[in-house]
Amino acid sequence: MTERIIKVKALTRVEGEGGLYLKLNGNSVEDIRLEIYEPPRLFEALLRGRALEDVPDITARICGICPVAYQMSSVHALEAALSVTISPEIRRLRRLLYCGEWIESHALHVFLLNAPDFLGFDSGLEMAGRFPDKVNCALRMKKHGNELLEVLGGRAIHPINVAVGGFYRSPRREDLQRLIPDFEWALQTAVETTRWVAGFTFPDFTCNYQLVSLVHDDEYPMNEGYIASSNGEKIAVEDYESEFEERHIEHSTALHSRRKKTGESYLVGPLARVSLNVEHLSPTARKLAHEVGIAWPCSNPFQSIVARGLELVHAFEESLDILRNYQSAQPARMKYSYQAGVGCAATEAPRGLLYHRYAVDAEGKIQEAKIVPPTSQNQSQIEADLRSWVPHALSEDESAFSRRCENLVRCYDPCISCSTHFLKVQIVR
Amino acid sequence: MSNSSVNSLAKPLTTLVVGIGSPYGDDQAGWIIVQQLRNLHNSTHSTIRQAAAPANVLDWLDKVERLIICDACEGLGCIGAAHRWQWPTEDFPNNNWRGTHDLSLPVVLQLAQKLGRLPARVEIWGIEGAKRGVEESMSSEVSEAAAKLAMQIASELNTSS
Repeated sequence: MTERIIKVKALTRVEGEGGLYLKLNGNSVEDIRLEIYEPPRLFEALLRGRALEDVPDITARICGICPVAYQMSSVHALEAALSVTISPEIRRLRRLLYCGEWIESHALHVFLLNAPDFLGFDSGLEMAGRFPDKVNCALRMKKHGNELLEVLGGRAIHPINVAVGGFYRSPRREDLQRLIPDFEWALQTAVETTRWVAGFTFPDFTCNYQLVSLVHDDEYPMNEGYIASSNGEKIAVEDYESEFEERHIEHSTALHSRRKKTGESYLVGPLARVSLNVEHLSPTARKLAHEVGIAWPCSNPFQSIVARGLELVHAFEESLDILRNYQSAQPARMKYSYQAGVGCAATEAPRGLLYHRYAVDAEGKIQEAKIVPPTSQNQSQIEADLRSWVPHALSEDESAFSRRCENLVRCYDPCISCSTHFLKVQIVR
Repeated sequence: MSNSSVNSLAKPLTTLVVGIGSPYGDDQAGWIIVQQLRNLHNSTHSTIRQAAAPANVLDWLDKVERLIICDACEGLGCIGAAHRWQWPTEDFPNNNWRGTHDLSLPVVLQLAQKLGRLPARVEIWGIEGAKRGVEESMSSEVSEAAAKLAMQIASELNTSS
C-alpha cells in the first residue's frame, strides 16, 4: 500500500485560521486531524474577577461575526444566576437582535462563502463577476441585518446596548419601523435565494448524525428552550454539562465536544436546527421547507446551505412581525440585586448551540466562567464526516482532492476565531 | 462674485472615512484615527465610521464619491510607520491586512470594484502594528502615528470642504 500524506495548507472562506491534515494508506484513511493551534479559553480567564455587568460587552468581543450570540448567552446565564425574569417586550427585542445576527451571518455565508463551491468558483470574488446581481442581493440583505443590529445594539460592531436584565436603552419605534420596507424586499429575496440554492447539485452523501439543537414548544429556537437530539432526548439546559463534555485533543488547542456517556460526536447548527424545528419555522419558511425537495430531518451536510436560506427567510419574517407590532420596552432593563449563585444558558448562534455558565459572588463579581462555542462542538463531527467523505474523492488529483475536502468543511461555516484563531489544511497521502 | 469664480468652486466630494480595527493592541489604530478625526473635522459632506471588518465598508458605499480607509497593517516596515495608497494601484500589498472569512481589505475593494460600487477616489492609510493580543494596549509608536494621521486627514478634508 502507498502511504500518502496530503497537506492543504490554507483552508479558505472560513472564519479564523487552522489546518487539516490527512494521512491515507492506499484507499484507507489512517488519520484526519482538524488542527487548531491557538490557545483557547482566554476569555474565560479574562472574565474572572470582573463585574458581571462587564460580561456582555467582553464576550461580544469573542467573535466579530456573532457578537450577539455571545451577549445573549451571557445575559441569560447571568440572569439565571441572579433570578431575574425579563419582560415579554425585552424578550421580543432580544429575538429581534438575534434575527439581525442570523441575517448578516447567513447572507455572507450562503452567497460569498458557500455558493461558490456549488457553482465551481474559487472565491466569492470570482463568483461576483458571473453573478453580480446575486452578490449585490446578498450584500444588501447583510446590510439590512447590520442596520437592525445598529438600531438595537447601539452600533453594528460589537453592540453595546445589551445589558443584564434587558437593554440600556429601548430603541425608538420610528427607528425600527423605518426598516420595514427594506425587510419586506429582503423577505422576498430570501425566498428566491432559498429556491436558488435548493436547486444546486448536491453530492449524494449522508451522515449518521446525532443532531442537537435547542427546541422550544412554541417557537423557532433562538435564546430559550430545552436541548433536543435526533435520538429523541429532551435535556434541560442545566444538565448540559452532565450530557456533553469537552476533551483536550493533542492536535487542537480548541477543545472537542462529545456526548459524555457515549463518547459520540454530534452536529449543531442550521441543519440540526431546521431538522428538529421545521414545524416552528415562520409560515413562509415552513412552507418553503416542504417545497424544496428535502426530507427533514436532513443528514446531508452539503444541504446546510438550504437550511441557512430557510433561516434567512424565518429571520426576515419574524423581524417584520416584531417591527410592525413593536412597542417600546418599559422599563428597558429589569432591576436586580446581587446574590451569589450559578447560572447557565444556551442560545442558538448562527453556527449552532452556544452554552455559557457563570458563577457569581455576592458582590456581583465573576468567580468562574465556562463558554462552549458551536464550532468546538462540531469539530469531532467535521473530522468524522471527512473520514466518510474522503473515499468519494480518492480518485481526484491532489488539488481537486483538497478542494473537495475544503468544500465539506465550509458547509459547517466553522468560526474558529470564537475560541482560537487558526485553520490551515494539510493533506498527506 | 463673478460667474467664473462661482464655477471654479467645485462641490465637495461626498466622503466616507472608515477606520477598521478591533479593541485589541495595535489593531485599534483605525478606530483611534476616526475617533480623533471626529473632533477635528465636521462637514455635512463627510461621514466617519468605525468597522470591525473590511466587509462592513460594503454597507456604506451608496452615493459615496471619495472613500478613505484607515487600518492597521503588518510586515511593511517598522512599528508606527504610516503608508498611503491610492486605489487601484499595482503596488498595493495584498497580504498585509486581516479580515474575516478571507474578506480582507484588498478582496473587499476588488469586490466593490467588480460590482461597480467603488467610488472614483479611494485612499488607504495603513499604520504598521505589531501587538494584537486581547489584553494588550496599543504601542506608543502606533498611538503617535494615529494621532498624526488623524490631523493630516482632517487637514486635507478641511481644505477640500
